[in-house]
Amino acid sequence: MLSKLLKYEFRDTARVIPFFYLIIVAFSIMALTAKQIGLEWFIVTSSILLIVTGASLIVITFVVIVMRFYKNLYSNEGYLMFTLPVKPKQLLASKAIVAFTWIIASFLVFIGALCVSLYSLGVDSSDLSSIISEFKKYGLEKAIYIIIPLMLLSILYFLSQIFFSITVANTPAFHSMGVGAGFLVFFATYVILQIVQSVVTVFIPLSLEINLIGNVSVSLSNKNMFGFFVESIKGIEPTSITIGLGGYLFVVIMICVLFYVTGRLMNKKVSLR
Amino acid sequence: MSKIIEISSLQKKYGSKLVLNNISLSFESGTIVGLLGPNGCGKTSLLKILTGLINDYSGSVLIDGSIPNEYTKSIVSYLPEKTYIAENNKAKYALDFFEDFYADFDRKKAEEMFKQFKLDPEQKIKSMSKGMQEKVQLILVMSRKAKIYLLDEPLGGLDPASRKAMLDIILNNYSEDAIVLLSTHLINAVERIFDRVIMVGGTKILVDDTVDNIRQTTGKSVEELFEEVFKC
Repeated sequence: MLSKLLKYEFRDTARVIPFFYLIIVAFSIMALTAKQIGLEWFIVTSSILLIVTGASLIVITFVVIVMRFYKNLYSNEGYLMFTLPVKPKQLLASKAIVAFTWIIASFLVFIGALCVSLYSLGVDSSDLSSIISEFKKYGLEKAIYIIIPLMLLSILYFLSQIFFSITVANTPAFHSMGVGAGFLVFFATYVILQIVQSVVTVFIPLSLEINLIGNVSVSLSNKNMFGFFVESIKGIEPTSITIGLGGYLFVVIMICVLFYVTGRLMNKKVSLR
Repeated sequence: MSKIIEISSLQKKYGSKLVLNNISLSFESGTIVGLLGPNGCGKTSLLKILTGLINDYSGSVLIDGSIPNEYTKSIVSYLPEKTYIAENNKAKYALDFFEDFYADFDRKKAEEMFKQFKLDPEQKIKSMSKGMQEKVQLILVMSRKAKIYLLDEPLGGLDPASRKAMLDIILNNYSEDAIVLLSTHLINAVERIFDRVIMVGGTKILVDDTVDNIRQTTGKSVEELFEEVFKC
């Protein structure tokens, strides 16, 4: 049943999001044409337009995902979706997988748009090579292996908060508050989680330690970030940077918790108006 | 006959407002049951509990021996009051959807009914009139060979001619060994099809009897009894 849910979820969302990809392609062609013609104002305008549209694409993708989740599950369409012979957690999984896929696709399209813009504006591969060699000089070229998983984790974390908030807002306790309940729950969830994540990041004694003396090296450490902050405040020249990992562990745990609770609420507490 | 639906001591509240209080009912297959009552009396809540749309109730609800879950959803064919098929899609999309998710959906039967009622599967749902949308939904629901049909106000907002067409769809297409539970407040239009009627009001079951019994013991039609029970 999950594969069927995925099929319809992709089919329905594919009517909206790729339309914006086509707009990006059109603007990309415009920016490349501008570079061919060599008109300065046209190059700048089309490139900026491309970057702005690319960035907007990310926002639009999130808006489409939020609206789809709400409309398909908690408006009239929910009467059909919640009476299908599927488990609520399968409904949730299909929404999460498809949303995650579209967000990744939109990020890739955005990166593509950014590359085309930079190319049009005259930034060539030698400039990029020099940036990469700067990273290599400090031994940070492998940072990409950390940054990409963290980005993926952040997307999942954000999605789990959105789905959780919309679902909580559709439990009987929030019915009297209307659609605004979703925004309120999201804001409260986001703020609380950010506070806890910050505390956990600073105080949990698990961190990455980047040694700044001699050859830059990165190692796992059982120090917490608090000591690093104290030293910084005292004005002591740091010999290493400590990046707390407790926050990331917290994020992984919270993604699981939020998806689990959302599934349970969909199964037991959601009441369609 | 075995009891396909068993409800005991059911209680449902919305906040502090009690809607259903200590309701106990059972239903056997092969009957058409009218669930009657004024607006807001709990008919829709009862149907939503049976479909698994409402889970925060107390008491026991068993459908074919199971609490509402994905199995019971596979044997219950539910028509809500609202238009629940995506309005931006064509009717054909809804046919595909039902065919994919319900093993008991008879697509050929549905397509024949589309032709019979001059409905175009290529037409978008949102461009259809309210009556056409309701017909499409009822055709989808009745094209399933389900054990239980739960129809919530299937005649609301329809003109008399369409009402007759809708009743024909129900009568001609429900499985003989199934149960149809139909909620309505338009009693006169549907009285002829009921085997049994249940009148709900003031959180309780006020009347639960067969139509024949009602006529014999009271000498009244169901509509007359309804007016007497719910007179202001």
